[in-house]
Amino acid sequence: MTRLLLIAVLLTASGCAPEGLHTADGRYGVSWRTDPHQPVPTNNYFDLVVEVESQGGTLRGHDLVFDATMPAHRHGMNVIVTPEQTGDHEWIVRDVLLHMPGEWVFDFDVIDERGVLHRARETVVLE
Amino acid sequence: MIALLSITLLCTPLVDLDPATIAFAQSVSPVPPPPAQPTNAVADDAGAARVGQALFFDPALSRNGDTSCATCHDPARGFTDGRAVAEAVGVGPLNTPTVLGAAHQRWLFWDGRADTLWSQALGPIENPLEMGGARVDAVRHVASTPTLKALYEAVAGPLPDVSDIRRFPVGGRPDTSAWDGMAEADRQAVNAAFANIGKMIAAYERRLQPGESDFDRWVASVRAGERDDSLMGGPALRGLTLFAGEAGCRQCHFGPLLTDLEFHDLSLPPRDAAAPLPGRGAGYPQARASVFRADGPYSDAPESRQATRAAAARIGAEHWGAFKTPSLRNVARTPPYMHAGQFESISDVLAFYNTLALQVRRHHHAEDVLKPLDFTPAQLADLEAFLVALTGTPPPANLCGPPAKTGIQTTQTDE
Repeated sequence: MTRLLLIAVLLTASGCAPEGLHTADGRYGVSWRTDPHQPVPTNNYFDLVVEVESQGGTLRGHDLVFDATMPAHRHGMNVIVTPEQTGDHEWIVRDVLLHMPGEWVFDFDVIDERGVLHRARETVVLE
Repeated sequence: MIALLSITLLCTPLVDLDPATIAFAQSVSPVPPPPAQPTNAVADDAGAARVGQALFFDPALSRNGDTSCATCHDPARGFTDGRAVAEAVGVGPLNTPTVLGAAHQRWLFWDGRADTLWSQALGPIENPLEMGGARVDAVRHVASTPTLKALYEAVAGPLPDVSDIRRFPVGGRPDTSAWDGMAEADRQAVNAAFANIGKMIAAYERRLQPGESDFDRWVASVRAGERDDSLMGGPALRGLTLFAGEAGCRQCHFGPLLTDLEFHDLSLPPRDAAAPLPGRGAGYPQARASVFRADGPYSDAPESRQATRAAAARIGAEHWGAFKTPSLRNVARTPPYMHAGQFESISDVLAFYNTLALQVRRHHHAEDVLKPLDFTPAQLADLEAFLVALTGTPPPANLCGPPAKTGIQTTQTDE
């Protein structure tokens, strides 16, 4: 278990999601990468490309919300980011800024066509 | 033989440092040139910097004719004033931050109420507690001073003719009847020229970089593969280890200026408990309300990423009472410390972090970053030694006074 968590943290800090990230209900698969590809930077702006896969195939009428927080510090990002849909399954989140090293929690909220929120969450540790 | 022995001793590590500490040290040194400022087209213009330098030291911009930027940002004190809170035309609620390295900042002022260096430069000129001046008078001063006018117009084109006192009344600045009575076109002309004044002062301030410190020289020796611990000394190196590790300072103090450029609420004891300061929670709305904001009408690149990023800041409940993380470069030269000068000395600051006994929680939304260090006196002394090792050489003398007194040649003189 510890080894799996370590692998996940290494992958995410290196700038992409580990395979198998899904919303809690398993309905959507989520993957992300920094653009251009790089390790997730500490306190430097960067862009995220997020891909969402649906068991049903189509994501028409869906939306994506991204947020990042540091629960141990009781604060989130100091910027507002708004994902922009760039393809049938793809969004770009511009100018993300994670201003401190430490443990960040990424929330990818897929809002389906009925307005129901499906959350995929993972932890990213920044040096 | 003796010389060889001396060199060998010099290069012998005084302290065992782990790779992570050395990597951290290399990540914060040297200080690079300041980032580009697309919203200020004259940021790197030598002529603009010359005008800006003259204005920085010019008390004529103040209401009492006796106060300049340099009154509080004194080159002899690391471009601060040595006071707990600023004392100029009036007494302000905040400690004077240094100008050294200000061009690296993402936000200006303790509460981030300016989003560019050039818009920051304009604030104190009109703040009733600082210089108490007015933008109409500032523009008139430049327009009526031949040297300044010539230099300004060489950089930014013609100044508006503000000689008609009825159209351009004395004391004209927003929130005055004098300003309200002006024609909109005249107000815009004054705003444009006033913005240029700020951009020129910023061009000067961009040249005020933190100089090389013992720490930087030590890092350079590490990079060169000739680590020379004598450049820092054992206490400062042990302090570096604590700073980068156990003390957790690097959570907020990292990057070349040893600051995250952002805002935190340390629950510091307020200077005036009856009127606690709102900090970032009020600063950001002020930045957005300013006509001199990065994406505003007087910006040279209102659609640049610098501008759009400034417009996308988030303010949450945790930002009430939060203030900007200060740079630690030259920190030994800039007492007192914290946003309201709460602590007289570095040792007082470290004593605060050591126990957190003086914390005053103002609300339950505050972030929770700090834990008591619980260090020994020897460890605290080592941390202080590291902070002292961040003291850099001062800027060149020709940047530490008005141009006329420092040998910078102007196209003509006023004398």
